[in-house]
Amino acid sequence: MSAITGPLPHGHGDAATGHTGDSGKPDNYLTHGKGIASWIFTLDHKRIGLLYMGGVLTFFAFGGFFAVALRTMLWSPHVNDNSAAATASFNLYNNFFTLHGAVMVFLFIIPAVPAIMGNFILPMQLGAKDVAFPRLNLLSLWIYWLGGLFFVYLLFSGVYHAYASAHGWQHDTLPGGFGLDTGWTFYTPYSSSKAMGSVTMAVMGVFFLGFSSILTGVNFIATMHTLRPKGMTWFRMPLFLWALYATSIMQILATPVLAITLLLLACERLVGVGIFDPRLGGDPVLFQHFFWFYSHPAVYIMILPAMGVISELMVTFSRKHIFGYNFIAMSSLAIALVSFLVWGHHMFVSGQSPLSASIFSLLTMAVAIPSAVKVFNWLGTMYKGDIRLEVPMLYALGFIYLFTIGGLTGLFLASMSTDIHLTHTYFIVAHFHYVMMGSTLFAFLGGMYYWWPKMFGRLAEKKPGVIAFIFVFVGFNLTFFPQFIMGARGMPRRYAFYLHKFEIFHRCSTIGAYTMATGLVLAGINLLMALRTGRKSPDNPWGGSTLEWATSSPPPHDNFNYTPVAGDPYDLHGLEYDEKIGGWVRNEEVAKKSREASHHHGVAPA
Amino acid sequence: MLQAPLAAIWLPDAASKNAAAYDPLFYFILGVNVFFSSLIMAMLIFFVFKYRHREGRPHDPTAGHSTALELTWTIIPTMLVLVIFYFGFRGYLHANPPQVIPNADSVTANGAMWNWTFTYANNHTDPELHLVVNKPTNMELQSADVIHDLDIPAFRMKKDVVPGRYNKEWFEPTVASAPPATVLVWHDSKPVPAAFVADEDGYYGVYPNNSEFPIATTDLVPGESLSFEKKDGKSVAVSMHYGKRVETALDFETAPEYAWKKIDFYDVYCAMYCGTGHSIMLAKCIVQTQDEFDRWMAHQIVWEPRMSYVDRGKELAGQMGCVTCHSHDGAAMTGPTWKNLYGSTVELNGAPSVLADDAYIEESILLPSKKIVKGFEDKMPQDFGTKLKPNDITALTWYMKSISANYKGDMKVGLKVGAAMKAGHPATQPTTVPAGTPSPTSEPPAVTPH
Repeated sequence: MSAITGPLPHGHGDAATGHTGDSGKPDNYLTHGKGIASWIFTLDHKRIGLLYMGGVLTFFAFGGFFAVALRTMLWSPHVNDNSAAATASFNLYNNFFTLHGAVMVFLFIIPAVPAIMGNFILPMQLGAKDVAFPRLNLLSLWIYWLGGLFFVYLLFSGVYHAYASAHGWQHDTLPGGFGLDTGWTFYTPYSSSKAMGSVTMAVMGVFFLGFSSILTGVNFIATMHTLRPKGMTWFRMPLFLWALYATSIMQILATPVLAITLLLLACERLVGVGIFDPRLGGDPVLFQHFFWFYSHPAVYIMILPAMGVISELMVTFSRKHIFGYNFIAMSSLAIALVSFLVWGHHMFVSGQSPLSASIFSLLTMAVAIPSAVKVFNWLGTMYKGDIRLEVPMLYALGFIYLFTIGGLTGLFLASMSTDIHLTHTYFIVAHFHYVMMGSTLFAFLGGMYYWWPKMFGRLAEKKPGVIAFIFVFVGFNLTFFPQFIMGARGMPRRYAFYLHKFEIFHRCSTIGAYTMATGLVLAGINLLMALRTGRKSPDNPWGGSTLEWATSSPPPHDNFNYTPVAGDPYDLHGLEYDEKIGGWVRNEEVAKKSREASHHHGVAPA
Repeated sequence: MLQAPLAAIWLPDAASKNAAAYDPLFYFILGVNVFFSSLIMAMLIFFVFKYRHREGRPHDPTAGHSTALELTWTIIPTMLVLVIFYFGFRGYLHANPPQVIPNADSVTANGAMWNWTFTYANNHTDPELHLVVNKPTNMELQSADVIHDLDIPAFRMKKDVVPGRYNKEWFEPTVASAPPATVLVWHDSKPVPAAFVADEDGYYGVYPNNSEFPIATTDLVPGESLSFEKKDGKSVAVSMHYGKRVETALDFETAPEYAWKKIDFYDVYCAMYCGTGHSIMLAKCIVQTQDEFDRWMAHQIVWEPRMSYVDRGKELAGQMGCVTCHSHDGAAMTGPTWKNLYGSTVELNGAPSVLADDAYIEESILLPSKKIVKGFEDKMPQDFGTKLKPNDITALTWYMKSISANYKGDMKVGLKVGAAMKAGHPATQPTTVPAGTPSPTSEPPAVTPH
């Protein structure tokens, strides 16, 4: 292991830019402009990021509420007796899981990291004033909010209808509120011919949301191409930006396919054009191909930005330059590329030919390698570091562990024969929750704790944050680990009723869901309390080396009061904790000595 | 052997050739999983402990680098996934062979919202899947409406049932189901025994002592009970299911003793989400010897000689899954109730009302999309024309008449015992017909829609 030594990174210091310590300037982006109009019509990427945060977290709460609701329904196996009451409760459950999945995927997890942290942090890590197209950015925010509210209204009115029916209430159906029970995947021909009434409108909602995603992607790519500061070559971009770059490419290329697919679905429902429904001469499996051509890359749209966050956290809290920068940067692009070619692994049991299945399987295996190596790179970053167990680091460690399990269990599903028995069961549910929720959500929370002081200028209290983390981590594993076993034992997914032999697993899972929900509420309270009672944050509370830590917390309207110059993004030399201000500042003298001491090559500050 | 205790936790008991081919790769990948997740967990904990921040401990913030290490951790996972890919590919070909398995039985599985029926080589359709042990079965999968998925975990087999496609799967069961196990016996001359209370999920049947076939079956969940009762001079077998009582009349003239027996079976699930009743789209797979299978098939293809049209109609409503959507107690479910339907005036969506007579009932069964009752959606499977014989429709219609106050006619024909059989099958039905040969008396196929 002593082989881990290396070339000296190219460095730069804050002091070189003349900006050190607490600025304490009265004007920041939060106070720059008052009134509702100054928010609704803002072109400031930071405010847009916060407005996204409002939406994303609201929808996350909805999705989470319905996750808890459906886990509550699964506490006992229901009634299986063909009665009207059983039918109504099945419909209610089906609405619940559809709502949970659709809201979490389209309104929470896809926009979570890119739209909140991407918008807020990306221009600042570039040392830029804003994104390349601020007005386009505002447009994509509006589309997100409108699409989201429309979508949530539809789902809610449907759930209201199903709930009232299940409880035998006399009620009027809300306009459009026929319910949606297709699952978030909208599989045909169920969705096109048999499902409840709101499919067409829900599909339009997703269609609009897709545009928001595309516009954000375009904006980010343009920003990274045109607004990098002096000294920041492509290979000096922070890894979070590389992750966002790869994500944006996927958003631009894959989302239109979803839009077209959903339009075709709407055509079939509205005017009976036979595309997917065999009764009209269509092919239902064609829909699955179209759908996963978007939705498999979408899985990486969800995870890549999260991996970017983790790279940032690992550096800052291990006090060590990232291990294998080039590999991590390139693997993001490689994963983005290969992710377009693996969609068929969702269809191993659909009657697909063994030849195409084997190609999809092999390509899927290929994604496993860069993912595995990323994990080893993060471990390599921790090796011989100076690890600080702050709350964001706890989430990053949680991420690595859960992502490892999520990724490794993917081997069962990428391998063609083992997939046959496990697909469509709770094993799949557990697998993608480990990857999507265990990984993306943990990275999201870690990122929130990490950048919260930069956003609002206040630090959350550590102790409640740690307690919340423990609840979330334990609750998560208690919820989803039993689902692996239950799935391997044959429990199919999307079942309102289940056989008694699965009860113990379902009950563990439900207890876990409540534990996790408690943890998430605690974390939310912890962050919100910080706004009122938290310690004032210095510019650089964690010792981060990327450019956003070189300006005040919260930043001024224009982000920087000087033109920043970039060097190696992960140059930690000379960053020292200053007790007086409770934050980190760079001591150029120490930095110089440290650089010289660490390697005989030596390097000049930028 | 590590597999034995692990198997008890992770996979249901293997019961087919596929399962025997499947399980080793599963446990190999499980081993890889356990090894690497433990390794990474251990490294995380060790690093956090070893390299945690301590005052005065010098550390170098420069990036580490080691070509040898990076190559190692790239090459080892690459080799592992290639090995896994190879065996996965082999297993997949085993489960989806390019050629048809020779010397096999053939069964068609019909998936419909929300029940399974299985059509055997002799054209008999049954809600239970009966297979012969150590003999391969080729199964063709057909859907009447949306995508379903025939999933038998004990066989490690699963395949989507896609409308408009002829998907196939095959299996060779290697473990026969245990013979039915008696849980409660009642002899005519003895006092009524105490009820039996189930402590786990189970499938039970009432068996006359002179028959190996049940006259009624029921599913129980823990806490539910089975019993025998004497009521108003009549003897009945009772099952209590979700607070509801289901009674089966016993006839001590034909058998002096009846028993509730637990029937051993393999779970058959629908694994592809298909709407409201997805989670109750379950079926039972019973694996038997060839002899047992032949006797069972012979028993199935003759009507119970003591049956009337009404009884046969009621039986069919259960077997064909009609009761999944149509109640007979007036409750509106996915489809309209059958209670008081016959002879009533039915309001339709976008069409004038019609009288529910024989012609309407027949059309609604064969071409369900033609007339949609107001307040309901077009959800009924389209394939009953291929599953029901014309006489079955007559029986179903008589059953509907029997539960309708709107039917003012005579019930004599409908209730006459044996009439239905005479009308449907000649009474000269042989009692043993080898499986696999078409029944000599089977009806010509019914009119198929479209």
